[in-house]
Amino acid sequence: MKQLRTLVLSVLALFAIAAFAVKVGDQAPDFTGTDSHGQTHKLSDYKGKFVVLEWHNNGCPFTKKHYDSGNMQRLQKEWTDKGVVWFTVISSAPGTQGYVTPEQENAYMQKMHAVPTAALLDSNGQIGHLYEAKTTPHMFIINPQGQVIYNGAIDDKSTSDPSDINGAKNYVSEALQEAKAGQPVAVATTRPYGCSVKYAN
Amino acid sequence: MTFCGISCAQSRAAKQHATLSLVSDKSFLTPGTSQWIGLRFELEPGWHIYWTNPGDSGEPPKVTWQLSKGIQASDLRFPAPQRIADHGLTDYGYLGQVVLLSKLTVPASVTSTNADIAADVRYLVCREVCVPAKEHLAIAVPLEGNGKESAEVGMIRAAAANLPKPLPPGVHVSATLKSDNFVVTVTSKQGDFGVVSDFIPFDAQVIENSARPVIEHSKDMATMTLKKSEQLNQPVTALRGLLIAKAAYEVSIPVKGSKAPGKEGSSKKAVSTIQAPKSNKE
Repeated sequence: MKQLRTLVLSVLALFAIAAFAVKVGDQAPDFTGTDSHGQTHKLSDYKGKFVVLEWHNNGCPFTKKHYDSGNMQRLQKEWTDKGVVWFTVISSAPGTQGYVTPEQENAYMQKMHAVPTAALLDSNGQIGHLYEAKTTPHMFIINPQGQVIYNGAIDDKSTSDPSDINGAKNYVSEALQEAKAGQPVAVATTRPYGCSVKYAN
Repeated sequence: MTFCGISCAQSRAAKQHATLSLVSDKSFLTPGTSQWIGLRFELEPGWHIYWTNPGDSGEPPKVTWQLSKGIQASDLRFPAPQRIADHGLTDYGYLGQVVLLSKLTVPASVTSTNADIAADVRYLVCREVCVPAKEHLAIAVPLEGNGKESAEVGMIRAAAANLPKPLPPGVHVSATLKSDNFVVTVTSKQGDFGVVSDFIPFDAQVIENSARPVIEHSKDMATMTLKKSEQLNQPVTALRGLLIAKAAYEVSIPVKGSKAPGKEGSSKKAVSTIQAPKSNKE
């Protein structure tokens, strides 16, 4: 009986995942996440602001490309200074690459001078599956009305080579600039690139 | 077992996950001709590298050649990859061993006695986690010579024979876009074309990688349903990729009824001006 219930719940969970494939123009699915300081954040509480979601794995070469070069931190600083809410989301399951305890994440952010609004620890993959986050990094932007306005890669150079950052077209910055100026986002959906998100198998 | 003869340079790195070597099919180069040079990856069990389109994650290897004056190397040529499952994603790459090829063209005017062939290789090798690696490989090959084939000639020949081929005459392909799927029709009067078993796209944002093609076979014909990528946001006039049957065939399948970019679309959905990122082809 218990097994049956588990099965039914798993099947329902699968349907839920399929139903919530996040597309640009859709209402962003709401979530509540706990950050590395133990504070909870509910997405819908940030209505009225732009919100960036950044999928993260500190051991992934593609994530390292953007952190060791300081590129991600520059973006976090620039856009949070302009009132954007920036959530780094870590969906690595315990025992997989990128999984961190709150203390480890705080030490990492301090060492790397990372300045997101908060780092959400999503080791059960709930937020990741809700957004179908595929890679690290995988970027989403949500507008003040709560709609997804960007879903995809951080930029147009899908490599792990830091020397490719210079001259790359940063999709996140372009989308935020356009949206903040009241313009439609020209490039709103791209193929995210990077390492697979290390969900529990 | 690693085998590396005279015209072979080898390097081990990335914590031994891959052993790379540069292999040539002859022990000499002849001015005024062209010949293959191979970049061989021997991978630790379970570790993989990527095809030109890596699929949902990963990155293809990248080579920068340093060659004696006048010698030119073609873009890397890749054999058909396999599908590799990765945390719910689908990647395209190679496990075990793979030889990537480049054609070296040696001008008739070359006068030196030796040609230096060096390659800087950047690649990502993955198994659960990914490790980026850089290698420098170099060999010196005499120009002209005694006509002897190198010890690796069999390997190079096998790799060249294994490269994707053009579609044989008598085989016809076409596609239509039906809501969320591309329906590809393959008709063949070639008895030895084999059974169509897969399609692997060159372009990253056209086909949903994780949705395996649904293939129906009838006499002389196969119908293959490919799920359109959710990231596809511009009209597609052709599906470029590898059609897998008895061998891998390089195809550009015209999509019927597709509107060329820039023309007015009949679809109710607005066609945005989104540009696909450049492909990873070298």
